[in-house]
Amino acid sequence: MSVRVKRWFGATAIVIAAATAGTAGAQELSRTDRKLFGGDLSFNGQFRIEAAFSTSGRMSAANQFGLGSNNRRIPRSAGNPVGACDPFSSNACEYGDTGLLFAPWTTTIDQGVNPSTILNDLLNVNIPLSPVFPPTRGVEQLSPTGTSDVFRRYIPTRDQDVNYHLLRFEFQPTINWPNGWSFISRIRAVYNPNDYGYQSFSYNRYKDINGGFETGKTLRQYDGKPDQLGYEVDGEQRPLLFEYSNNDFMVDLPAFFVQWTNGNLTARLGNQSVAWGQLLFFRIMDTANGLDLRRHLFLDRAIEEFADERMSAPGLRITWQASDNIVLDAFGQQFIPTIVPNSNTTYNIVDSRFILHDNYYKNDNNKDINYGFRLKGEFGNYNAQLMYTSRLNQLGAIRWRKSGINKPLPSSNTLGFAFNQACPALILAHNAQYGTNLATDNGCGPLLGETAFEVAPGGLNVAEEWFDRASYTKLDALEGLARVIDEFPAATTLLARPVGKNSVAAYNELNAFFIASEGLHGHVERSYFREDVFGVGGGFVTEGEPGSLFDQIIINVEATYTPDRKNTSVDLRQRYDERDEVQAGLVMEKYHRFSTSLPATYMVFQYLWQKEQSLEGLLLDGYGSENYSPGGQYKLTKGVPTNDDPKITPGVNGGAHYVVLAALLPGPQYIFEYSIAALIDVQGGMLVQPGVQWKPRGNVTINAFYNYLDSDVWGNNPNKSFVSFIDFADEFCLRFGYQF
Amino acid sequence: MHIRKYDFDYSRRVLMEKVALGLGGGVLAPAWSTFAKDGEINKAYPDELRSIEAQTKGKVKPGDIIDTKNVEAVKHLIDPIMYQQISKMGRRLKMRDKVTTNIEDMFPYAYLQSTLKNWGKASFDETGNVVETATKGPWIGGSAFPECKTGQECMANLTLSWGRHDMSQYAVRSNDTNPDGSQAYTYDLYWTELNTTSRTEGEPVWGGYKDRLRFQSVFFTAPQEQAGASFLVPWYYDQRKFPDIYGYLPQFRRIRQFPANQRFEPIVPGINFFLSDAWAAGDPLLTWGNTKIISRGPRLVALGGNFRGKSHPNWENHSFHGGGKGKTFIEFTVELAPECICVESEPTGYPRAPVGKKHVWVDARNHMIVQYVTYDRRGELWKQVDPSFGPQVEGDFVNKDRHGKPHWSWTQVHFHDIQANRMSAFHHVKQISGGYMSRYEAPAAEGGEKGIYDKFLTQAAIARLGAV
Repeated sequence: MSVRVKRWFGATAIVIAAATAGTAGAQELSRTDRKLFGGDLSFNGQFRIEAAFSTSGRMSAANQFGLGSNNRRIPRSAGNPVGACDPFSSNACEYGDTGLLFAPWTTTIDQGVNPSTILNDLLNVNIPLSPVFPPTRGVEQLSPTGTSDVFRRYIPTRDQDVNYHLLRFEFQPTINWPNGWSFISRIRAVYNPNDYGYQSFSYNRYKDINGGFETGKTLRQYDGKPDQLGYEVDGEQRPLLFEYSNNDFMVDLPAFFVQWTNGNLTARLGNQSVAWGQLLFFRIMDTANGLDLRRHLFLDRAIEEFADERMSAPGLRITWQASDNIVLDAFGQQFIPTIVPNSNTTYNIVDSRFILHDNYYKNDNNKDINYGFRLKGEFGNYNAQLMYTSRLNQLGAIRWRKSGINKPLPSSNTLGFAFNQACPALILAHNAQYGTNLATDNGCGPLLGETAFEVAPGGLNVAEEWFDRASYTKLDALEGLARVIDEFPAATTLLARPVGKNSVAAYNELNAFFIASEGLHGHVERSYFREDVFGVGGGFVTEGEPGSLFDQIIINVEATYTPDRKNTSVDLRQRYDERDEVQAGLVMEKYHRFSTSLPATYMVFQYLWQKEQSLEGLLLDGYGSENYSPGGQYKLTKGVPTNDDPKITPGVNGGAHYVVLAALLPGPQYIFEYSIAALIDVQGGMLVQPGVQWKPRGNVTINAFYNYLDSDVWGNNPNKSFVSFIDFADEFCLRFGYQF
Repeated sequence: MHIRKYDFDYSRRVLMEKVALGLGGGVLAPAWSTFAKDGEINKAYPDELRSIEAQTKGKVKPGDIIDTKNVEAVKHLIDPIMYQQISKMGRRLKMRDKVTTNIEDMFPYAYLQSTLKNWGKASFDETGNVVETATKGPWIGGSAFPECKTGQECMANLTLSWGRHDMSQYAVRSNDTNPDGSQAYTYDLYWTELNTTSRTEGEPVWGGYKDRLRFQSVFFTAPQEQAGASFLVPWYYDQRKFPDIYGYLPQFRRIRQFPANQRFEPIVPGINFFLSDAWAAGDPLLTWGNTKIISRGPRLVALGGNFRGKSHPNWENHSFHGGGKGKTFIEFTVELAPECICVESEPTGYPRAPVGKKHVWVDARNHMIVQYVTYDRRGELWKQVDPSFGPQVEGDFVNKDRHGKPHWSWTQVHFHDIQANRMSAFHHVKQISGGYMSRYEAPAAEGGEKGIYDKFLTQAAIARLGAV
């Protein structure tokens, strides 16, 4: 156990001891006669310290310190934009400016050939020969003409002891007036006590490379250390009305509303969340609100479902108890997206070399309203539900976008130098062809700004990374490359070409640009689209022999149909994928006494089927990719097949299947509660969480649980399972809560 | 000076005969008819059953404290767990100076009137449910069987009207102690029950719910972790059916259905109260079986003097004592009841219940629970439910009902798991946090009973009362 972990345990123990000692005094019965504004005021709250200690030491493969390519020596040879043409190959041949038929990128530049020569021949220009440059950061075994080398990623892999730590304070004041009005609120303040125990990557440490990271100057999460708790979208640093957050703290109001009750009608106006559906964790009918995954992703105590993750939104909710058996629930709320962890934070799942622009504010989606209703009937042992939601899907959809970063290729390598020399001519041609007015005074910068890429340190450097990151993100490495070229004319002007299914050509092409750029970051954007969700559900309670396993099993099924849902295409194309989505789920719950000396054990079985999307909302088409590396030599992600002829996006046929098995065994009086929960992706992923909750006193709750994650349970390709995003996060979690 | 007409064992022999023959209470005269006629109890019982000195051979007198020094003298008047509490755990009882003799001090006024009015009109139908004999419809209010000749009759009285009001809302503070006597939990909870049948006033069937007995809910307002946990339990009139259970759990933010037989679990951590424990009749009457009277005899009961309406602004009784830290028990004021009926029953409808059987002592005069103990499946004593009742009167403080009579209800109750030595002591208080007040009549300003139903007894209601 490292010193850091020991210190953490020590600090936690001290807090536990101190708070427990002070508990008795705080147990005094509180006052009941508090008045405020003529109403009865009551409040309660809690302090909680939360921590997760990594037992794998691994960091997210989406983060700079967790990349499989870190410290790896991987050879690169720049592809030749002028390749041999084989009319019978799948790689299209085309005519160059010189009128010659060629197949771009199918070969690498011959040793001894100065890249300027190639450009002069191909483009019919006359740029000077590139001089010889010394190796730049990470480059070894540089060839004399600079088109071939071995690259060793200069950002190290680091072990992280502490995945997560947080101090939490929640306070819940309520005022009830006798005339049916209430004011209900919950204030949540969380503080991330610095980066103690974290391995915090900072781009600032690499700002000496090619002028640093331009995006960091405009988006907080890419500036300096990771933005642990902030939520920023393009154009607005604090887009949420009821939240004030920054790098290390967050204060929000998950509940802040007035309530009016009149007979069987209840109306709530203000910031609030709406939870629908009988399935837990699987969000079939739970469509009203997104999730806030910034804190502990969804790896909190499983039995608590999304208690800390479900977002709130300002709006109006009306609940009408239409009869003894039927409840009609309707809401209209401001649209607020699901918030994903920021780049380089522990549970980040978006590769940090890709800048995720959030168009929530820019597209005025903060002015959009999600609304819907649910009708629920309970008839003894039977129940039925109907629901409809018109919403902007909180997950959104992602596609390539222009970087807008006018920064030239570094002229510190022969390829970058040659391209920068050639670019003024290319830009003039581009302006003429596309009617643009790009300047010619900054090398390739103006053109790069029109592509989805940005030259910056800590970027993609070897072609293997491209394949590896695409498969990790459940995208198509080849089609994704094609779309980022053919949908961005400036990329074509820069001689990039779609290469179809030719992995070799893609490999060569990518390495050429990576060598020239000394590292590229991609830019993508997330936008939100309206969809209609229609849902139906029903359930019943079994009646078997009293006391038997088959007696009193609570069974519910529910399903939703979403026509024309817009999805993230596996190639991130500009035109979003659109198809109908169907979700169907089953939950079976059983309380059973295995011993008369213990309370009943709660057992739950759940099954979810999704036609098109995986649990985290990506298309199943993108699952199961293998990686390309010549001879399969450089495997960047353990378990992912890597070879000369990889299967790219074979997809998952028949939809996604997920199973949850969970049990909660309380001890006498629920002083101890032992739990086990398993989430199984039948494609080979598994999250298993054993845990124990101890309540030594009424106002003290201690939780300990362990998250075990495995994305290749059956020895499969991890990319077949959504768990591959988080399988680094084996961790021991500890929470100490003190409530008042 | 009393002249004893009968020897000391006379009453015991008479009461044993009544148990054997399945007759009603009373030694000198039939108990209930005597109460009904005279309004007081003296004519039904001889002196020996009305005098604590006689029962203890002078060792305990009114005003005395019962503790380790004299508990042996009252051992035959208390339940076996109470004996352990006093003899080994430092519990004490206070003998009341005066004894309750007026029948009006033993009931809520309206319930007593219904009991008197409807006396003799109840019977069991072929399904085992209580009906009004003439109409075969649901029971029409008050104790259906005031003479309590069988165990089933005694339990039916308890089951059909728990709080003896058509609508009751109890603001409850629970002090829960650890085995070492230290304080473990403090909960505020609000318990609502609304009878739709077996009603004492107004319409005999409320809201058209003829097939229901009651709606009941409980929700917690403190502490934070449990605040907003709420349960809704609509009861069928047919006592063969399990009530549905719906719960709103704070972490899920939505209502979930629970198995109907989930009645022997602590409803929140650390609390000894199960749904099954409510009024010693927390489960439908016909889901228990082998119910029989096993004894009749005098007993110490907490029937008055425990209400704290004057001495504490929130009606809390802070006379904590005993246990490891002097905080486990509330001091009860007790008096001698001449005849209590011990009913034994088994949870035949719950094969996996941790309870093997229960013994419920019922006061023959008012048919209300006096004490209740359960045994586990091994036959070992497990849990005691030990309530105090009485009119809400303390000194010159009187909490009056709409008839100008004192409200009558429970005041405190111990739930003691003697095996784990965990105690939950409930205080029936004036108000809990959130402004929820105890009340036994639905205020017209809040829409009457319909208002209570809408506000506390529907799924929408418990979702609204739940955590946010």
